[in-house]
Amino acid sequence: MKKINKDAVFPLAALVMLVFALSRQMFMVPPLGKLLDPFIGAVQNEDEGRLNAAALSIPGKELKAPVQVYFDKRKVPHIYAQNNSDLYFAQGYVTASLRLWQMDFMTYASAGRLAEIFSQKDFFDYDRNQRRIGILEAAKQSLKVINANPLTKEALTAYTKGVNAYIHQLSYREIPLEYKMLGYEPEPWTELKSVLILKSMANNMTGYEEDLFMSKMILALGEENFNKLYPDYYENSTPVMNANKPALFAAAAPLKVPSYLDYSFLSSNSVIAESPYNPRLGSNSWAVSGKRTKSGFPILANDPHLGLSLPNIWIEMQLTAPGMNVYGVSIPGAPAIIIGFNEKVAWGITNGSDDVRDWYKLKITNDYKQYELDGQWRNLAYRVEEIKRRGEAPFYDTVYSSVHGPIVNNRSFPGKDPDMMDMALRWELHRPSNEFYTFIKLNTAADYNDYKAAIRNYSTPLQNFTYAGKDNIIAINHQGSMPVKWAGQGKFILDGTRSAHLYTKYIPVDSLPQRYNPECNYVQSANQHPTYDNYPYYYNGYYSETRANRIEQLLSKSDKLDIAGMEAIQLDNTNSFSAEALPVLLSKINRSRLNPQQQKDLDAVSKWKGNYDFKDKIARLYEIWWANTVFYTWDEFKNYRFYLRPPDKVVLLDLIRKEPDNKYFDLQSTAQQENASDIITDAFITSSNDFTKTRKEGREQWGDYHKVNLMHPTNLPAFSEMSLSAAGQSEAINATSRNWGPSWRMIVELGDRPKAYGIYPGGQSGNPASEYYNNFTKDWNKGKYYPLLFFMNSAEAKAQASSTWTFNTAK
Amino acid sequence: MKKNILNNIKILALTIILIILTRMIGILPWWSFIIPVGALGIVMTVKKWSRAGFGLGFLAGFLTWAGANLYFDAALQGAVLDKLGLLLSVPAIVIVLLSGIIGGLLTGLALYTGKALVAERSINI
Repeated sequence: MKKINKDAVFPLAALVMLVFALSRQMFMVPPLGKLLDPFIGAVQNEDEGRLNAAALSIPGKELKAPVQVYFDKRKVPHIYAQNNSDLYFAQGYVTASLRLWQMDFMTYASAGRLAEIFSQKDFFDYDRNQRRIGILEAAKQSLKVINANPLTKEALTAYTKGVNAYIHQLSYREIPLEYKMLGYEPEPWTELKSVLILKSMANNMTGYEEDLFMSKMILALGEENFNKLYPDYYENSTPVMNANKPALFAAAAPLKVPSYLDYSFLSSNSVIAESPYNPRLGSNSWAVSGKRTKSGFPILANDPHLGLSLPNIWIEMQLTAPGMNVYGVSIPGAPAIIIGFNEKVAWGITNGSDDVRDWYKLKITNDYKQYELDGQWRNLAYRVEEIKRRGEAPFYDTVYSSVHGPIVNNRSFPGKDPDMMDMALRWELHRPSNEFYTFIKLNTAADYNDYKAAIRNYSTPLQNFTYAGKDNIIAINHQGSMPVKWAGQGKFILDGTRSAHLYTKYIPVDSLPQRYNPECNYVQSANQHPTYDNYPYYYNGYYSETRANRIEQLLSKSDKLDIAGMEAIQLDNTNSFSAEALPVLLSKINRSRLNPQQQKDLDAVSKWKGNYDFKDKIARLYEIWWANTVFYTWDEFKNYRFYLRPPDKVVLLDLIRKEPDNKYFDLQSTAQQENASDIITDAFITSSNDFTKTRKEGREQWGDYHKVNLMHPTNLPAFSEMSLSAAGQSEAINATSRNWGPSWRMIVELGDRPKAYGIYPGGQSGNPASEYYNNFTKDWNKGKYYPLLFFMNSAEAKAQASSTWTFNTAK
Repeated sequence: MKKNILNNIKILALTIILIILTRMIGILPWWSFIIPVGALGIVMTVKKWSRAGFGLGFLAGFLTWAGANLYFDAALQGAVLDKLGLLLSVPAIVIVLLSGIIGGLLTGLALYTGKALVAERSINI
């Protein structure tokens, strides 16, 4: 026997170290050995054998009966099950097979677990904040309610089993590319994860707030100015419930500075951290009765505006089981169809945009043991959150809470704004709720009564539900938990030491803003005010009237509406506010101060109609003009260190019209006294000069500036669609913007057989290596629609299938 | 001399076959092929089939990894290599070369280790 040679020690050690290093993610570099291994690595993610298989048999021993899934050419699955439980199992399995990493990642982000994937400190801070605002805790509480309801428990359990059946049969070769790149593997799905997905949506839609800013503004401006500049209602609006318009617009009762609110209460002079939330996340939806359509059948249109991403937030599918045949979009990770239609009804949703997130300033003992309420000291409750960290020991964070809600920022987690310290957050998202019930019931709704019963208990996030029934009934409901508040309550920071500041009642469901078969024969919502100012309850929110006003203009114009007309409305690029403001600006501008080029530009802009078409050559000039006018007018606010946003554009236009000599038009930087006309002219001169420069560079079309980005959740440009030149504008009905916009456009005409069209940016597959990852985006950007193949029975679906999966029950 | 070249070609082919066969067994970890390659290094040295070492192993590993990545990329018609290239701001071929270098280094080291374990004092790399 030969002796082992010592010379082998070095290469052996090198080999072991190399294998070790290439198996792990190190310093942001993915585990390269595994990733580039041709047999199991990234290149294997190009394998779409399953999705393209003409026939694929899948073991489904958990199922009661076989399930068929027919994929059409666009890879939209049409699922045929013989009972609900099998249906949701298959929905979970199919969704996971298309979008596993996306849905899993969303739950990490929602629960505050990103530090488990990423080792950078930012993610740890994000996780702490996410835990402290209480998303994970809220999801746990909601899950109890969901499990108490047999219908939703069955759906969620089956869906979870389906996702897990998919995960369990995955080898490393088949796991989504992102896991390989980030160096972790899928964990089992849970019911809680599905709830976290809905909480994440609720957070996106109701996570915005201005309470501290408004509190400081009312103190800085005084009541009179504040009510004028930051009013709760605007005169020119088309509310969701546009009935009982008051004869005279009274601008509601002006808000008073609440007696408790002063600078010492707030300990002012701090900078407000910029909110990551976007108050303009909005949507359009309308339903038109057959009395106003060419065909005589009702039409419903919906385009929810959400953060645009790759993969898209939605996934398209048809779900069929006895008593159910529904088509639409679902959110990966959650059962049922969220927006869609069946043979008898169609429904859409838009964000309610109400303020349901309020802050209470607490008085707390130094040891965080007690807080004061009505002169008595009460014990602070607390929970300990375990935050796991990649490559480090877990961190245990103590989150205190009072009767109001969790204390988000305290000594151990000061946050970005010292004024938010020791404040308790009261948020409707915290209240246990069961949104799955609403969607599952909507999926099988056959008439208006079913629809009403489905949405009746829907609570958060507050949404405008639009409804159309085959029997020509249309309706709209501003639905959700809307607390009963006194005027101004929740608009400003509240006093946590007084129980009178806690709201305990909610507006009764029957009193929530709603309309049923109105005389005009249409209903519409676009994140505008839900009511006129004569609504008996006080509420506030982050509403936007522009799109609703434009939809009103277009819907009221025609009583022979059809699908093509609806498409044209959804793709309408006119900002109705710009069109309204332009003549006012033109009437004030001092032409004599302009040079020949500027005069030429002025002549051009004066013919403009507020249109943000891709090729429009004036839109950009107007945009700069208006932005400069806003900037010059509110220049004094820049001195406020807590400044967050100027008064609404409607307020400025009103001021130009009615008070052109108002003090706000005076520029702080000059000695002389300016009026509206001066600053409008100044603004135009600057914008014309700016525009001349870019025109020389050959960039004058709106599409040259207006770019849309569809970002992958990791923000990796290679997996995203960047800088897509697009038509539309954030306040046009076609509300495209840098990173949000129409995430799904749907138009449905009910009748003997529903006729439906739709499209979303992205593709059905979440796999960046797939040909179905981004195959809809070009058509979406061009304003095309795909016919949605709603099959009346499985034979129809089978005839059109490009691939078929069969779940077999054989053991 | 000629015999040597022929032997080396045989070892090269054998190494490639060993890597592929090992990787066909799905449950084995991604680095499992280095064990049979190391064993080959031992056998070929003991049996005096060849004096080849790291260089030959590197070539075999490089060809297998780069070649298989190119093959799968072409056969599956996907875009993964392009996207990975985009991530690093390099053309896709650089990703293929990188994979080749990884496969080459591991195979080369494995073969050399096997050889070194049983070789006489003077080792011919």
